[in-house]
Amino acid sequence: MMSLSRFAQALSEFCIRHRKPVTALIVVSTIAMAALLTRLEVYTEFSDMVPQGHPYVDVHQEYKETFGGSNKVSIMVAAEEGTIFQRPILKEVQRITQELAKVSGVNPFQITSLASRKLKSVNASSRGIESVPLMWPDVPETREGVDKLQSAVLNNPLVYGIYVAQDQGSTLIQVDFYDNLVDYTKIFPQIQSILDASPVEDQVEHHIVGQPVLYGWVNHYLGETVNIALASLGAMLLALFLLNRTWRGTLLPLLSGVVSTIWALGIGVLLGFNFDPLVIVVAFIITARCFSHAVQLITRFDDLCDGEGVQPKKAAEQTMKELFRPGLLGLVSDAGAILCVVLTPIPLLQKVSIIGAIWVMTIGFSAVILTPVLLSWVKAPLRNAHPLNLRFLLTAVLSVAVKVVETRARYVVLPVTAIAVGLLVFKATDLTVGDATPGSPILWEDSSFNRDSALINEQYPGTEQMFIVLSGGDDVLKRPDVLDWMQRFQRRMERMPQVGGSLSLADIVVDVRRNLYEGNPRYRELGNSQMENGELISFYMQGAAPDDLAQYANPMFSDGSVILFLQDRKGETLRQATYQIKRFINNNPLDGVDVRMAGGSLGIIAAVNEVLLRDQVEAIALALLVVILSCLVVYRSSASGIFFMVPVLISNVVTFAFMAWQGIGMSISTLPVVALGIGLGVDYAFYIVDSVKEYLEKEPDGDAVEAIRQSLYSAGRGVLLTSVTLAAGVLLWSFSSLRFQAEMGMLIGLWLLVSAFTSLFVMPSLVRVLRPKFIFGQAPQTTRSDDSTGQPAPSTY
Amino acid sequence: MVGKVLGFAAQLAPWAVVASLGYAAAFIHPTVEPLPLPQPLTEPRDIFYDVASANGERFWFVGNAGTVLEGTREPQGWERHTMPEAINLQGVAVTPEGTVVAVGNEGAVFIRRAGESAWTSQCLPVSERAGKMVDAAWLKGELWVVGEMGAIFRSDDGGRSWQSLGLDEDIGLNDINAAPDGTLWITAEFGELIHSQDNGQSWQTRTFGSESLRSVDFTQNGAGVVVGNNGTMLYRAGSDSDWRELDPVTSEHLYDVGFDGKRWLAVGNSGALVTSTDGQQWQSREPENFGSGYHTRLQTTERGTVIAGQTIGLLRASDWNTWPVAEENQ
Repeated sequence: MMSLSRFAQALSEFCIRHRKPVTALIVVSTIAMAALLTRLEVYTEFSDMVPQGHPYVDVHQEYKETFGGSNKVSIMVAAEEGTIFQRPILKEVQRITQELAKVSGVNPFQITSLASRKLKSVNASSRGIESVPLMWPDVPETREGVDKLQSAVLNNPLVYGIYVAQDQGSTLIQVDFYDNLVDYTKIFPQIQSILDASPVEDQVEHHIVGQPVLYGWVNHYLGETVNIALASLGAMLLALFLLNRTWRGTLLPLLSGVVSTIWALGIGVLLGFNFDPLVIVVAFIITARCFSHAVQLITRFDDLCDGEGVQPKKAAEQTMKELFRPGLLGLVSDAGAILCVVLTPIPLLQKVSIIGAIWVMTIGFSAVILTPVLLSWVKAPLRNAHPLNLRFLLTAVLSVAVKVVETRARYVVLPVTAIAVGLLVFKATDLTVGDATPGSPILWEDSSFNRDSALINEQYPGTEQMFIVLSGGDDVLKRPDVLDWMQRFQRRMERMPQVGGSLSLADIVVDVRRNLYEGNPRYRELGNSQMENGELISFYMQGAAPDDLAQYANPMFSDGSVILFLQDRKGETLRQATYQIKRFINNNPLDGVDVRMAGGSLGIIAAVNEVLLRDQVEAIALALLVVILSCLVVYRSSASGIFFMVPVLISNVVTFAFMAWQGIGMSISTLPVVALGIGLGVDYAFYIVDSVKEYLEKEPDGDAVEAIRQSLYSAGRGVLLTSVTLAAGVLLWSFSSLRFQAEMGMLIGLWLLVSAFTSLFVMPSLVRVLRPKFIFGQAPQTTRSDDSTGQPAPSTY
Repeated sequence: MVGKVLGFAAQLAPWAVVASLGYAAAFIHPTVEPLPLPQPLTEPRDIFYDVASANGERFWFVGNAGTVLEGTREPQGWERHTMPEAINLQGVAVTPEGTVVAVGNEGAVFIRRAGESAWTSQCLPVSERAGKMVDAAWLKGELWVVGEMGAIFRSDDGGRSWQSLGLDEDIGLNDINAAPDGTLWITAEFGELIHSQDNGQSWQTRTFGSESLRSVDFTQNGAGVVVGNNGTMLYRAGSDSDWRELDPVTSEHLYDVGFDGKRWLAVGNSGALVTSTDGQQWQSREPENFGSGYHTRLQTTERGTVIAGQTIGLLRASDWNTWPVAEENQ
């Protein structure tokens, strides 16, 4: 303890004594880092979101080029009137199909539409059998040709209902992209420009969904995101200016935030990290922490200068010394908590974790050191920048907090809090891992993307796909028992309401056989032998390109897929689906065949959810461990750990309950926020409690109530000021077109307010009632109480 | 003392919390609470091939994967039966007392006796190469089954024993029916129309073109219609008249034909539905929501025609009602 205090004192004296070189060093470093920002790349990297080493991911990586990647885009072309079987609309389908081949990163072998070579009609009669593309290379020239095409579609169960809607009013074009070539900033605009160039826009509607489209929308709103961030920043600065009434109280937090941001992003560039737009929320939280620390320092500085008449230079040094301990504790806790996320084997989270921890630690320089150093130049006496005094608002709230501690109300705080937390725990247990809503949680329900997604899911089996793989020896897929297994598996899975349909090689075999028997539906069944199934497949492949069956089987027919179309990607849907898949696989072993799950976009998301479900407890445990270890090091008391878990517990439970109530799932995007929240929940408490301790250290015979009162009016004012200011700022996020950002804004605002409330109204009462030894020391303290009922109480731990 | 204990507990508490969470993270693996996956009345992959009824009120549909659906005109009381083997069932017949006979691939026969709930299974002696039994019918007090490889079986004891009356040739038989004069008629592949006037002891064959003939039905006065692939239609005015080919009204395959007392109806591929009042002049119909899938069998009743295929339902005049009606029946 003494060593930390001595270090804080030595550092404070050094920094203030050498304030010019210290400032110059920070400025030069900041300029150097700022120069690096020209190399900063803002984009979403798909591979960053893929959990490494997960068996689903292994399957996906092995088969994504053939059985379907996770970057599939579906374009629905709908007729304004009547069916799609009109030449202008069919020409439009052909135009889009051809143009898609030019889009950046496209896998040209995975473009499927009526106008592609992949969708075929297998016709057989007494005269023979033929397998011909439905509408490739040309659109029928005559009405009769179109009618014939319509008839061929309606008789093809692999097309009708899957690529052409049941009401024939729309058709689907699907295109996949090479994962390693995906550039979300290019795909969406390029596809959008193809659709915008429609020569028949008065006759058709276009609807478009898919992962690249989703992230395309995120990029589309990047400008708006920056504007909201700036507006939010402006609102916070305005609030600071109004409440603090000083330029230093406004500009120094801003300066700290800017320096911190430049350093963190610069280091990110040096580490070769990109900046994901969805992570801007994390950046904002950390900047908020930076503001918070700076405001605490400024508030204490003002108290010393104004209240105690200390000269600015000395006050700056004393401020730095006094607040070094809680500041360091808060930063280490924040950094440690976010660093725990690094154990989650998802590159995006690991990057966020590393850069987040670095960012938090830069606050140690930008706020804890730079702010007092700059404050040391402030001229005495201190002057207000404007006459409007709103501090009475803060004082009113703080007076209530003081009243709670001083009166018997302090005894009610703990049980009331315990009951409230207990009730909220019930709600918090509803928190979903994975997406909690049918559409994308990143965008609003009424967004164009989610409306398109709902429309396509309504008319087609599902926009989201997952595949399982069957692998064995050559031609194993032609075995009747293997094909029968596929059919039984598909039948079983389609009983799930969320499974809109499925496709496999078995569907092709039965369809070919039906056509071979004059289109008789009674023969829509598998061949009786491996040889017969092989012949049926050969019929299908007559005149076909080698890759026409690539979606279902490899050329040796040793590896095949069963593709499941799901109506949504909710966490619960995926858990139920994977459970049913595993159960079927276990209950129906196939001799000589290895059945593996699960690839496709939903396979990846299922893997992410499983990783999050498995690792979130670990991350929380480690984050708490960091808090405890920090307390142990600083206060030499493990009991202080349990004391500071109270605000963490409260803020986490409230936030989880809020997430459950609002239908916000624990996802790859929210986990870093939650991890940071643990640090966030305890920061304010550190300042309040440490201020009490600081007071009692300076005045060993001091009164506990007075110590708490001083703490609330000093550190508490900083807590209230920053929480209200930052909460006001983040509320602007609720106007974002990105639902995720709006919800995270609300989440952070709530977190800040709950943390502040806990620190101001709960922790002081706990301090007074429990009288922890790490604050009050060994000797029993005598307390003077305003309520005349206060009795001397021994310190319990 | 209490203070010391509390103090000790407070020292231990944080480690206990972290240890508990660590234990949970390391050893407690999250499990899924599976939602029930009840057997629905119909599944998306169900296809029905035949329908039969003894009284025009209770209907039996048979289809793929050993599925039998039992229901009435009412939304309530529908029931799904699954045969012990997931064999595709192609035909069904119901005796007047209520015995249900379902036949399918590999000579499979499943019987549920009147008043019983259990199904018994047996296997007809059919060709190993092609043993699909396509149609079952209750005709003139006997059960008849026809299928691939010219298979014809007759049972006069409610399906307990079967007599083979097969043609002993490689031809697929699609439908068997009896004219009012007692003559048995079978539609078959390659345009063959087969009949027997001695209750199956001998068979005579006539060929009409090359398209497979799928179904035959008669009015009470002996007028008959045969339908087949590519819209093929044959008509005869009465028992004494010869069959003559009609101009196709559709190019789709027609799989079944029936007379409901007032009009003729035929169904087939791609939602094909054609009707006629005299059996000679036919018109295509497109009832709303009838669908564009295939329909393989129809069963005429006094209160409309029940149709089986990719969808099942009731056609009354030009109104189509898909069965089963409500999900709450499942």
